[in-house]
Amino acid sequence: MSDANDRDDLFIERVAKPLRATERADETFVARVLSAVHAAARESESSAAPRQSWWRRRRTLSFSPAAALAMAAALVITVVGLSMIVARDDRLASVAATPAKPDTVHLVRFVFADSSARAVILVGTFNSWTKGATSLSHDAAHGVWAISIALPPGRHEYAFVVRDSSGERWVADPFAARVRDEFGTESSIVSVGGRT
Amino acid sequence: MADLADAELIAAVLGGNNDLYGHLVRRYQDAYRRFATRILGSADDADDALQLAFVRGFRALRQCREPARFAGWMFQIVVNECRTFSARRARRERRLVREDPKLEALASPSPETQSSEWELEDIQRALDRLEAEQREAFVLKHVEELSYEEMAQLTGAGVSALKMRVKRACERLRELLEKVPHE
Repeated sequence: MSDANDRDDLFIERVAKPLRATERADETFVARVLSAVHAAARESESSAAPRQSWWRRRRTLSFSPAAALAMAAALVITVVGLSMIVARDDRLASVAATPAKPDTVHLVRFVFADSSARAVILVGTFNSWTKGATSLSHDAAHGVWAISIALPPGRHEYAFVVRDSSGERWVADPFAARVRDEFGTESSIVSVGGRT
Repeated sequence: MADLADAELIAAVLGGNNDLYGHLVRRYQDAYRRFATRILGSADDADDALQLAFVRGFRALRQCREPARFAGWMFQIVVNECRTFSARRARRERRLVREDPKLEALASPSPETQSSEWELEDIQRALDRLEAEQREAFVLKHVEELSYEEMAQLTGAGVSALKMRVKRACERLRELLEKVPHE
């Protein structure tokens, strides 16, 4: 009986010991949590005047014409609006530079250029700063990482999590306005639909 | 600020200085990350679940009645978030592990495998195949090294049920990792 118990203990130790190895967070984790916390705090403050969530309302999808995709060299990140209007029945209706209606969502394109990146992830207030939600696709022809996502009008904070041979790092958009948290981590701001 | 006790940081956060919550995150992230990674079997999923848990903790901070015991209170949120995350993912993916050829190898390991120590990857893969309750109980008991009383408080399950889960987990892991002796 004692031998059996000893064997069990030995087996458990062989299994459990490697599992006790420390798992460390990447350097962006605290920044992501803190950004999500700020968003939660703002949401809580504004909940005093509840209104229907933007994604529940009927809406016009508007790709307002934006300035051309300004692609700077090296490490350059740009946020660019597109330009088209989709009618309420989701059919492509026309292409026009019509001012956005209040319940409009905008398709915003995020572009990141870094030849050494192995993966680029967009995190922001719009996806709760989670890494699993929004990965950029690599556009080999232009050597950039890009994604277009629908955003409601308003002010959105965002940053890029860049994976390369040295691990993961947090990168704010050098061409956008920024906010800085207690730990000195900077995120960028995009204002959609002329709202801040 | 980093030297402040948990209760002092929580008081400051509840007073409106949300940035200080980052110190609590920094203080405990590694402790919870190991648990989340073992339960979810993926560093990326663990990262997402932990982030959601910390935000949930922030939203519920006023309900933390004993701020000096923030670590245990927060761990309970992490455990719950991992359960939710795991269930959501299982529904989405229906766990594809059975199609992994390496798992078949684990089910009947070669004599060479028997004689050497298992790699973390092999053990994690076997752990992934346990039932969720058994996996959670095994990790809490033998990885996080909690007492059964602590586990009961954390999970809401009874001590005898937890002991049974751990026992079954060990048996299943043995099946997966070791060749059954023919006597």
